[in-house]
Amino acid sequence: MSEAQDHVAFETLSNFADGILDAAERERVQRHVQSCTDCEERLARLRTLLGAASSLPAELEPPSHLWGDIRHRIVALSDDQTRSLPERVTVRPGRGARALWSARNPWLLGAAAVVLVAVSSAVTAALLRRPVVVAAQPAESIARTLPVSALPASARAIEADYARTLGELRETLELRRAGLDPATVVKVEASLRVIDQAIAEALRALADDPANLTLVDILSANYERKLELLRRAAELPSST
Amino acid sequence: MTSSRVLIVRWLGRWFALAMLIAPAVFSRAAAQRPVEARHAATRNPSVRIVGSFIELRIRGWDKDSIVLTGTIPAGAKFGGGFGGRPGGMSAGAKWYLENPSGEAAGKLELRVPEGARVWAKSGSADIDASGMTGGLDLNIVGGSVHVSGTPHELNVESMDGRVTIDGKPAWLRVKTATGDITVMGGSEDAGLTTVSGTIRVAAGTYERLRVESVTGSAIFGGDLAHGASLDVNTHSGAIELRVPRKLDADYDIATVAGSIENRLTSRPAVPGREGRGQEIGFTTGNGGARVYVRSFKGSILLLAR
Repeated sequence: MSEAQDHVAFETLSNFADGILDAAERERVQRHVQSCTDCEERLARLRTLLGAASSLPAELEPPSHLWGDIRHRIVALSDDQTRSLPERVTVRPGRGARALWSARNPWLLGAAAVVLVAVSSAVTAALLRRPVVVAAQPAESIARTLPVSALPASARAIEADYARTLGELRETLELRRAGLDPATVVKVEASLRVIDQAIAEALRALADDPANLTLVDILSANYERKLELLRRAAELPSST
Repeated sequence: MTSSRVLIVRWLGRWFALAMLIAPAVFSRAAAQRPVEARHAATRNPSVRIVGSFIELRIRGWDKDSIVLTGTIPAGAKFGGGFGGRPGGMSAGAKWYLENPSGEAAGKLELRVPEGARVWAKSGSADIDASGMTGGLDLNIVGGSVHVSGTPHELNVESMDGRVTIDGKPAWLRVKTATGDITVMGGSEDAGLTTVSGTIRVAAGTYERLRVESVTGSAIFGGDLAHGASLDVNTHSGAIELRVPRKLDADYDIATVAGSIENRLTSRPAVPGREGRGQEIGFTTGNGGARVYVRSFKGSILLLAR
């Protein structure tokens, strides 16, 4: 390490924070950090980040909570409304709760679609606010046509949940991006473009057919893929 | 000296000259590697973590209470970490990191651990092969490949473009790739397979809860479903193929928004979907029970009997 003049490498600092350096290396890093305010600050930020990361769930699956919450609200709503619409509700044997989604109530399903599209747009907007390894998104133009201010309070709360998670991922990516192999960044960008294209297609289809709940599932799955990929990119070790 | 002897001497001379030219390169390469060996007594289910620029890692679970790491790494590589616990006592875990200043993945390592260990390995482009484990495995690569056999209780694999092959029977299985292909053959109680554009193949094995998801990659299921099992397949544009026994006790609910469904499993044809777009189909085979739920935006869906 030539940290005396060049500061401690991020990976070394990370291993120091993890406590996995050998004794000699640990002592050298310790000495440098004590005499270098820059590295001391980086170490403090890293420790804060590691502390925050350790409290994150092992599997990042916000959509299950997100869509579960939305479904719960809409299913509860539909329980009341479907009583007055008996002939319009199609319940197929074996479909369980999904059958309720087949209800062709324009108000209910329209509301669901608005919530979905608006939340989706908010997520896309949040992802694109500070592009890290994300290339220009085809989904962006569609997402921007939907005002976030139109969201109901519950959807805004969910959006806040997403924004926090994505913000944490972005922060981690910012810290790690310079250390990643450019070839890996290209791979991540290519896959993100594939997902964004799929999101854009699903959004367009949903705009044409707002009550299509299969599209809701597919769109939410595409967002899950995007979140997973961003998380994995953020967690890649340096030089990979 | 006869002409044939002259030819032999010339031939030998050329080979000697060639050997002298190649030797420095060969020896410098050999000298550029250094061996690694670490061993320690361990508890029956220690936690082992290895991260860094190794290019090959073999993980072997064995019926011994010790952890052994052997292999070769580049001479200039930083290799640190070690065993946790009190000196002289049984180790409850170990941590190693390997950092090659050149940035190239180069270390070749073999890790032997008690079969009930939990191993966490992370590298860039690497080939990881694991077998004999009954504990947990958490493997993370960018490129290369992962192959796991045996019956780890928990198996989590993440890769970008590295291919993943699981022919063991992990109770809990999660595989996530970006473009890497996923092949699973052993069955599982609870499996989740996810890719962006790789191909997912479930070639064999019995599953109780299986979720297969892709964006553009194809999904092929040719395994068996346990009684009351659930199979969920979701793609955006990836083609889906299900090969199942004709008399499987299962309820099918299948729809594609803009694609097509070809049903060669039963005589029931698919019907147009919402507003005449796409197709959907629902039916029961055998006595029902297992739940097969398939959704795609524009991928084609093929149902086959086997």
